[in-house]
Amino acid sequence: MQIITKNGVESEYLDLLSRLPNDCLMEIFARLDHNDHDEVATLSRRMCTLSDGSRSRCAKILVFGLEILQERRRELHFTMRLPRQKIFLELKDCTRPWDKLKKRNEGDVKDYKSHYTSELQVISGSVDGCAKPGEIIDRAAAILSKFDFQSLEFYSMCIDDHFLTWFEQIARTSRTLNNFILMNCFFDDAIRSDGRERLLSSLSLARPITMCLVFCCDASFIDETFLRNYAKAVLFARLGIFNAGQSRSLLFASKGLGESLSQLGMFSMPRLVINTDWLLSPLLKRLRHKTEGTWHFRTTRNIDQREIDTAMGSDMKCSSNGNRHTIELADANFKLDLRFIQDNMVATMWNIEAVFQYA
Amino acid sequence: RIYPLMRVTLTTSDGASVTVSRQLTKHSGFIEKAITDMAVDDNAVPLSAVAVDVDDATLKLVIEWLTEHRDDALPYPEKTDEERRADDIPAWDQAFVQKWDTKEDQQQTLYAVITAADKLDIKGLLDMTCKTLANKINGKTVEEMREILQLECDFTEEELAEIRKENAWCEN
Repeated sequence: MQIITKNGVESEYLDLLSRLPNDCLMEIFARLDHNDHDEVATLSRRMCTLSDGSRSRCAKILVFGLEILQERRRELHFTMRLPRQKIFLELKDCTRPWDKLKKRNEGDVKDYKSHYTSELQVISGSVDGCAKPGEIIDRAAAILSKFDFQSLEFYSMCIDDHFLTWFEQIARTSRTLNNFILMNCFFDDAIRSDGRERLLSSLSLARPITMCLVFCCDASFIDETFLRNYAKAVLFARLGIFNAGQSRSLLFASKGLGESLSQLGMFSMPRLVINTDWLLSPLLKRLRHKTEGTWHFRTTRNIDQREIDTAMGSDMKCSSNGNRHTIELADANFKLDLRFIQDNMVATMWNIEAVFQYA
Repeated sequence: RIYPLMRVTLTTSDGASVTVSRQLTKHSGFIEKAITDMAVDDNAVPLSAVAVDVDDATLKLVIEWLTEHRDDALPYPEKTDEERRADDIPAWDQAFVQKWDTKEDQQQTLYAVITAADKLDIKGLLDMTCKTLANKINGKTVEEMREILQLECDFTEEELAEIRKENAWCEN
């Protein structure tokens, strides 16, 4: 059999690809990405079957980011961030296999990021004609499994079993996730402590460089072990952890935690209390990294210049003015500005703001 | 135990014979198994002939590749799914494949070497040639792929539309 190609060249070596055994074809297809597989699937019946079989092993399509807003605990709004464009999507029905995410006009999209500053409205149940959020998450997970996201942002999400299963899958397979935000999120009533453990395990596995977790529920499940492991795994990470009722669930750090945290670039966790007696060593260690960043957490008292003078190295100089202290690396044009602020909510506590910056 | 000076005679599908060092054939799971199955004395020089279902011209290319890679570590490392990439072909291998690109029958040669690597169970060569072919079709449209692969479509227009609909991740 002969065919004539587009260039009009006759070839006697027809269907060369078809002559290869299936395992060879699977090896070749495993090195293509999902976009290529969409094309390969339309080449021929055999290629379509083999493409389906090797999709689970193929490279994912790199995408800048995915943002998901859950409105009133039901509707989910998706935004895909691609180079030079944003695509606004929704998925209301997922009962049929061909139900997909649908594009929305930009004009129809609310300024959803403002939601995380507003009070969360919780309405139970699903809307008539719309799938339940869990079903939508499951379907979205399947549809979006062909993408590898550099950034994931979730706003007002109810963290339930469906969400955790999806995020576990992402954490296991992602090669590029470097930004993770949970903004104004909360746990489903059915989720118990093991669900919180699942979230922490997945975050430890995914290891994004930037992580901001804002819960509108108690976040006391975030413990020292998680902080220690994350700081050890991601050099100069940017980590922020906030939750409702921060004064009620303080986390008192053990002596060694500060040293572990000295690897963090940015760090903000108002419910964490580090004893002032153990504070200077990690601060000075962090200063020596000469990397810009800020730290916020609580301490047990203010500090005085004498303590700093005793602790700091000969290559440093310190100046103090009341609750403000500046420690400078003499030969590096780099400094640490420290500010202690009396805590409004817990009278015996102080808030510390440490800014590492060029002088 | 491999005796590097030991030689193996390979008979090709088109009747040629090639004698090669056991140092090269140790990379071929097929030939090693054939030698084991023969249960011959390891000191026999040369060993009895091993028939391979590969033509002479392709076997010469395979031997050229094996000669360059004779010191590669064995067993060939198993790749995890994350490691299945196509952009890490060593420079010598790239030049080796590019030599065929100057020929009219370059596609046929590539397919012949892939098939030979598969039949002879030479994992490193199979890995490299699969990467090469993957690189050829990576990022191409279906029409371009069809031209490169010289592949006929056996779908109806309706079936194609259905597949495209199923594979789409979003609708306008």
